[in-house]
Amino acid sequence: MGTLGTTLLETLTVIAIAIGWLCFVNGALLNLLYTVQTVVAYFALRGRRAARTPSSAWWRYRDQTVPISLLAPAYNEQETIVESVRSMLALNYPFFEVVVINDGSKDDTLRVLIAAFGLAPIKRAYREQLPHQPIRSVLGSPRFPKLVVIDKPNGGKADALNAGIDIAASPLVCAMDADSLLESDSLLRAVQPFIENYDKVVACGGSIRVVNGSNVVRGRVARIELPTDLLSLFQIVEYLRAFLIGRLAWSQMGAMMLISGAFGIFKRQIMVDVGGYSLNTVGEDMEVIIKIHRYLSENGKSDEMRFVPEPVCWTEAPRTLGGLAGQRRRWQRGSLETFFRHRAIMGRSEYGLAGTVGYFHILITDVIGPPLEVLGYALMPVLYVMGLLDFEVFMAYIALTFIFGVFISVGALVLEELELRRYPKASYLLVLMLTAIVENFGYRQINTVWRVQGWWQYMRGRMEWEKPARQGFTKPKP
Amino acid sequence: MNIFEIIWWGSVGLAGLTIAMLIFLYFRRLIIDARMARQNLKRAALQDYVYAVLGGTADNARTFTPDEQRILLSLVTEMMRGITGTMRDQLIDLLDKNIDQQRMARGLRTGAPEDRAKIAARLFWAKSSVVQDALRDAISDPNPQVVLAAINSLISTGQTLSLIDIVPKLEARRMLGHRAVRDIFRKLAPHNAAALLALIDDKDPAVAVLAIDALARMPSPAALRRLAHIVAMHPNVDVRATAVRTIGLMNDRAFDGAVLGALADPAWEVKGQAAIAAGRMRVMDALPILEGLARDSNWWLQLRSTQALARLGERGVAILESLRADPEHAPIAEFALSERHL
Repeated sequence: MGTLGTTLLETLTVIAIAIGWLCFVNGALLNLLYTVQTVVAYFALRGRRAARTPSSAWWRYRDQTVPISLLAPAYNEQETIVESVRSMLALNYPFFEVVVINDGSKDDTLRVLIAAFGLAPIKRAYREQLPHQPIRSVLGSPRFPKLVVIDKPNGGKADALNAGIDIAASPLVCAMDADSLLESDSLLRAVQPFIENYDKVVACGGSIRVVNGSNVVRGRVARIELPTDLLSLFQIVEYLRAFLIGRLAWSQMGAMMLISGAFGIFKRQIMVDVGGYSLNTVGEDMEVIIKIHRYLSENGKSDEMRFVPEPVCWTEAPRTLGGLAGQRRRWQRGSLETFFRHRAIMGRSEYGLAGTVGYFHILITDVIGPPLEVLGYALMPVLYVMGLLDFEVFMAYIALTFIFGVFISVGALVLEELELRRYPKASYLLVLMLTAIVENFGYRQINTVWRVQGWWQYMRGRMEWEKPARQGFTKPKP
Repeated sequence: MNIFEIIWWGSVGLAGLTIAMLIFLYFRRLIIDARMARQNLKRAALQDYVYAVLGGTADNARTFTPDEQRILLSLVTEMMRGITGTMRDQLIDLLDKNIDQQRMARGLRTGAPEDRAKIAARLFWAKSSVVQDALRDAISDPNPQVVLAAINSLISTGQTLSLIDIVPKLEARRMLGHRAVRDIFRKLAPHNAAALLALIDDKDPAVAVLAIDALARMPSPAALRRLAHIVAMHPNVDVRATAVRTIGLMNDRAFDGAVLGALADPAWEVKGQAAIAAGRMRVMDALPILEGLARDSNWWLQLRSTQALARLGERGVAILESLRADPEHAPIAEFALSERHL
């Protein structure tokens, strides 16, 4: 028995050490990847040819733009919907329409819209090419000819977007969240890749930034300010890192695996060709991108998806731990669903960089990354205390976990400050710098725990949408 | 040193680099903000001074430092964009007396390319011979931005430039596709009627397109006849498309036939422009062709032809209504109708 116990203990120790090493290698790989991404993103930002001001964007692109239908699915958005729609209607773009899809809201979203824009039922013919809940009514207003509101039973965001694509009249559709605010020149800037190469480009994404704390007047971000709560600040740095480094680098390398559901422009035809958004997923934005990659590769096409950093869509980030946890768990489930649904393309060169580099990236960041990271946090100190890990290995792990994390976050801020400089005061920069450091000690770890919970929910087959509570945009200061 | 020590010491180095980056960024931003605050103060003071001069309460011949001159020039040239008449003359007089034009001309000849372009763009008011000479020389500048800015400034000061002289310089710098060149052609059209008629036969299609586009500013039967011939015969699609567009802008019903012919052109670009022209000229005979084009697989043709139909009175609207009943074409018909509030 004693021998058996010793053998068991030895086996467990070997397994623990093996897992510890796996955590270490995964951390090193991730950090290497992020560092490469930062360098690629820096050169991409330096080399871009963006119009300096909104007016120069207008003069440069206004004659070449392609009509766009903005699709804004709204579910229980009574707090923010009117301001969002106003912001959309006030966009600087030659030809566009705004299609708001009321996805069976239980609150007063539809009533608020009808009152604010004087909506009444209109007739609009359309062809049902995509799966979605039946459209109950289409509303419009002579005062706002660019606005169309669809009312339909609840079916989720993907279902609502499919309904919007069916009814859209333009060759490009812009999928966004109804609680987000687009900057006035964002469509003009985001459509740039389509103008440069309409035949090749099938989709394009823009930056998402956190609006919390900023001053919003009549659906526009009038003054960019920082929120006072730490949770929103953390998310500001997180979004900068995700968009200025991650998306930009992947776009540059030709392996975009995600265009944010809050702001992405697609050719309507490609969405119809791939069958629209999949209804039975919570990560429809990522899933549709992989579907497009698959469709293009399987049909012998080599079209492109791009990311443009200048066009900005402002979104309200969750302000409570509960709301944020729910969002992150949902994102994790979405990533896992997409990964496993399309696992057939992993490592297959016929799917190009998406099937190889892109899928490998999802594997180490979204699939095995979170559990290994949590295991590492728990296991490495224990192994070290038990004397099973050398001091230098332990310190190298700490360095990889924390110092690299800070470096990447600060790298995103450096790119933002050198190339875009959207935050107007030096004091804001200082606050964001401190946030970029602090978020690596606690926030990032708890985030990983939520993602592991997302893993758990995925395994248990939980599918429902956890929608974070919205507070509404900051009212203008007197 | 083993791999772990390398990682550890590499990370320590990275931490140092991160801290250095943070400090650098913060102080850089402080310096930028301070500089901007100083500039804003100066700018505000100069703005007050300009208003005082315009209001007649200040003398317009103060002595300014070069930095103040730079701000004054930027401020006044911005203000002048939306101002005409006496007030514009006052502002030009203010610049004329307070800006060292010799220095500007020198900068235009010897500055860095970006500075040269900026200076050339900001001299659109200066009629002194020293500046005019410098601007004329700048038309041969190797930098395309400088060339464009110099031409525009010369046009603004009322100089008559010959398109025949300018075209080779623009062509040599591959600038013919630039939107600003199209505007230059349009601005110079009234003084270059004969040149435009000569340039529409240029062997370079880009030049012909620019000349045809500019002809829309000066309709004449002779030009229309040439354009109708081009629409029917020219081998280049862009040239044919621009020619039919220009015919539409000239809006002479005697040339309906050219538009109808273009609607049957093999190129969709020409057909699309012909559809626009048919709508603009109210070519009722085009109705059946437009109805067919509205069902074309090309979305741009669908868009242009439905938009044209929406302009062709009750019969056009009736066709759009019938298209609206067809689920496949309903969205675009709806779009065309809603654009004209129908």
